[in-house]
Order: sequence, then structure tokens, then C-alpha cells
Amino acid sequence: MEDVLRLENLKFSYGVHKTFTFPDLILKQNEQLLILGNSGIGKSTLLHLMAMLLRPESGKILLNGKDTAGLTQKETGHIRAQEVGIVFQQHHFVKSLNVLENLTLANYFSNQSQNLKKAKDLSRSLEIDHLLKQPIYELSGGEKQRVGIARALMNDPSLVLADEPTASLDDKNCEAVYHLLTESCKRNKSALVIVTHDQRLKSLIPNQLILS
Amino acid sequence: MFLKIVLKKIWHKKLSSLLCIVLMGIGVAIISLVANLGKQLEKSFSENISGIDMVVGAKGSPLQLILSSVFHIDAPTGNISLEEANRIVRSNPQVKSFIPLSFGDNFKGYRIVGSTPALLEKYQAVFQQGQIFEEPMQVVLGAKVAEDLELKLDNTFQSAHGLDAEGETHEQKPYNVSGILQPTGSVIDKLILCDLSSIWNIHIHEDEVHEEDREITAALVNFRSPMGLMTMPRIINENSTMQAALPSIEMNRLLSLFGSAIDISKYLAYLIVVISGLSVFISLYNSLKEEQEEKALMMTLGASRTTVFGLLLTEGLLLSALGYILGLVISRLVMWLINQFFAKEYLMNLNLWEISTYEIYLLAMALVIGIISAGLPSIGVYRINLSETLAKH
Repeated sequence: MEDVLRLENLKFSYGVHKTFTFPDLILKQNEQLLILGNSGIGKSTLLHLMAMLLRPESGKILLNGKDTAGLTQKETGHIRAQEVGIVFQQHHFVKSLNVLENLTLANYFSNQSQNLKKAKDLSRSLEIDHLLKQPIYELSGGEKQRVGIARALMNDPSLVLADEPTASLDDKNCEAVYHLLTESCKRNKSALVIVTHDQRLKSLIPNQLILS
Repeated sequence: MFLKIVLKKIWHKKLSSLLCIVLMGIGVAIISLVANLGKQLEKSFSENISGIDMVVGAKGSPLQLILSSVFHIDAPTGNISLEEANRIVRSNPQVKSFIPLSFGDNFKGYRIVGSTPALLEKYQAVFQQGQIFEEPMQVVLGAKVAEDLELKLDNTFQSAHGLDAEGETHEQKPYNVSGILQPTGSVIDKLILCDLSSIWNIHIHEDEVHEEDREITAALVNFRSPMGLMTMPRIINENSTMQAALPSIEMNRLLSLFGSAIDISKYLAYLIVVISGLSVFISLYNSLKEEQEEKALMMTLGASRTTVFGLLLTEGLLLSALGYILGLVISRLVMWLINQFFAKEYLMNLNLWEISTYEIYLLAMALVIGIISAGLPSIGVYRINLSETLAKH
């Protein structure tokens, strides 16, 4: 199976005081990885590096075999939009748009034609199809979480990155979100990386990277 | 989708968007109104005074004499002797044309002006129906008078004394409509015209007055050469009981008075437009600050910084353009109201469908203000740190 993500000798610094060195890793299609660690250990930094929202100080990030180091800002944005789906910890949406428009926004900005069928299929599988015309600000936290997962999968990304997707959820909902994410990624054949300090996910994903 | 995002954003922030649009609209409306009214005023003045070099009337305010005798919007300064006017003015070889006017009565607020057929020739009046007054007590109606009072040929009516509709009625001597004029766009449209003898006849019996005692209210004079203009007014003002007023000078004086008011209104309106630009700036600046995560999200989803910048710029441009359109609608609405309510008195006929060059410049100005006020805060898009913004919010 092809490597979806490969990290080699990755290092990132916030000024001179805070430097993170990350272990090498390889992630293949359909694989799941749980990145655990205490607060401030660099979990979100690593996720942002994988999402190409940050540029490493040194080391390599290869996405589907392509080195992302030499890419321009525009090329990075294009590849991120096509290949990476991000589920944010906070619910980031364009508040003036409704659920369906927020979903198809991912198509529009990645220069793809609006895939309404995909939006409807995803929302059906995530049980939010009745909310498609609803303004985003009228949704509950749990509903927003599902819309966030659907949006991350809109462009059939090869890599899905989820930042603390179960934080502040009770056990029942924690498990539900985990199942939604993993099932959706399986259907999409996407590799999944979950960054969390939520110990409850430990027993659910055996492939783990613990940052220390 | 691009436009949809912008329109939905504007709709989402209804109140602040409305404030920007209304401020811009008010500014544009005032500038457009002032410009159109000024233009119409100048046009109306120059059309009505064309061919009139001098007005002779009773001593008093020269501006009042011009306003009452040329524009028929003020009370006359009094009467003058026809004999004296003929002797000093009409008989002077420098005078090319002399049109006597006698007025002081009205019908339902429209002035009845006694004169000669020369007055109709001066305004190049063309008959819609009927013919010129040939006998005493026959009248020719201006187009607006006929339309407003729904008078037809051979209709009769009784005039009222004075220039107000409430004056005492001359019941014994009704007027008869002999002709109706086509619209000319000049003051003649709002006049009821008759022969001088009709005015004299209605006030005094023909056999009771001697030829030398007859009076007129004013006379419109046209000279053969500019020499007349240079010498006659002084002769009349110094050596007669009459006064000579020059329409061009009085109108210039009036326009310069109006001009100051027009300029002040324009500066005020420009200030409002600038304030509206400032409100677009503040609105977009706040929006960028408050919704930085939305912009960062768009960029994470693949939007380039230029696309996000374009979204904000389009928002500012649209607000300005909508403000401009609102401004034109307000100005046309007010112009329509002016046409409806002041047309009779001041013969205002503002063209609602004409977009003046001035208004095209105004559109350019509104758009430039939109670009600047939206562009400045939007530059911040190029400084957004995606990782930091998404982690922070």
C-alpha cells in the first residue's frame, strides 16, 4: 500500500525558547493513528505541520509521496484542499452560510465543481441531512461536530486530521464521534490521524504515538 | 458561489450593512439633488431671460421686478404709465422690441397676463388648439394651466383680483378661452394670456379712462445692439419715474446667492459620503478582526489570500454600489415630488430619467471610496497566520 503520509526528522521552533522534535512516522491508506500527549507537548503543532498550516524548521513531510517543502503558498493551499481534510477542535464555519453551503465551500475553494450528491450522501451517513438548509449558527455543538466531519471528507481526502475531536464530550458522545470519524474514513479509504489528550480513545485505536 | 458568499455576508450583518448603504445613499442623494436642481435652475433662468435685455417697471427692488415680470414668482413692484414707457423706452431707436405686460389678477392661482402677441412669439409658443386672442376678454392658456384646470376651448371663467386664488372675483366680466398652447418648458406654460385691453377693461370701463392714463405693470425690452444696454438703464433710472432692471445681472446675483447654498450643501454631502466610506471601513475592519477565523478557514479550505481579499473588496464595493443606487432612487423620488408639488409655482421640470455626467462621476467616487475603505482593512488578510488563528479561536 502507498504511503499517504511520511514524516522524517521533523523539527519546529516557536522562537528560540520552544523547539519541538518529532519522531519519524509513516501512515498508509486506511490506517489510523492516535497521537497522545500532555498539553503543550506539541500535538497540535504536529497536526498543523501535517496539515501544512506550519512549515517545519527542518525535516521532511511527504504527502502521497510528494515532498511539501519546496511548495509555494498557493501550491500548499491547493494540495491541502485536495488531499487533507481537517476536523477542528473548535467549530470553525462561515456563519453567514447554511450547512450545505459550508460543505460545498470545500469544493468551491479547491476549484472543484460543487458536489451536491457527495454532500447529501455524507450528511445522510452522519445523520445531518435534515439540517442541510439550516443556518450554521442554529446548530448544537454535536451537530456542528458532524458537519465538521462531513466537510473534512467532502473532497475525498487521502488524509483526515482531527484535532481533539472528543474534548468536552461525555463518554457516549465520545464513542459516537470516534465511530463516525473512523467509519467515514474507512468508507473514504482515508488515513486518519487523531490528536488528543483524551485517554478514552486509547483503548479504541491501537496505533498510537505518545509525545513526551 | 463567490457572489453568494459576499451577498450572504452582507445579509448576515444586516444592520451595519444597512448603515453603510444608507449613509452612502444619503450623501449621493444630496449631491445628486443639489446638482440637478442647480442645473435645472440655471437652465430655467437662462431660457426664460433669453431675448430679454432689460425689464422696465415701477421703482423698487430690481430683483423683485425681474422675478415678478419674467418668472412670475413674486409680487410686482407697482404700475408704470404706458405713455411714459412708450415715450422714453419704446420710441428709442435702440429698442428692437418692447413687450408690455399688465397683470394683477388670477384664476385659481394662475396669473392672468395682459400683453401683445409679441410675448407668444418671444417664447416661440405654438398652438395646441384654437387661436390667439383677437377680441377683449379672450384668453390663451399655457399648457400647464389648461391641463391642471381642465379648461377647454370656449370655456369661460371669472378671474379673481390679486395674485392669490382667494381674491375677490370679477363676476361681471368672464374670460373666454380662445386658444391653448403646446408645452414650451418656459414660464409661459403657467400663464393665462390675454390682450392688454382685457386687463384694462376688467378694472375700468373703456370710456372712463383716457389713453394717457393707461398703466402697465412692466415691459420686456430687447435692444438692437449692446449700446442700448449700456445707456438706456441709466437714462431710465435717473430721468423717469420707472426703474430699469437687467435680468442677466440680477440672475447672476441670485445664482451666486444660490451658489453659496449649493456649495455648502455639496460639501456637507461629500462629508456624508466620506463618513459612509469610514463606516464601510469600520464595518470591514471589525468584520476582519472578529471573523479572522472564517478567513483562515477559507484559506485552509483552499482559498488563496487574494480570493479572500477579493471577497472583502467586493463586499465594500457592493455596499458602495448599493448606497449609490439608493442615493439615485432617493434623489429621483425627491425630484418627482418637486415636480409634483412645485412645478406649478416654480415651473420645475426635472428630468427623472437622465443620468448626468456629474452622477457618473459620483458613481466613480462611490466605488473609489468603496475600494479604499474595503481595501485598507482587507490588507490584513495577507498577514493572517493560519495555524495561530485557527488554534486561538
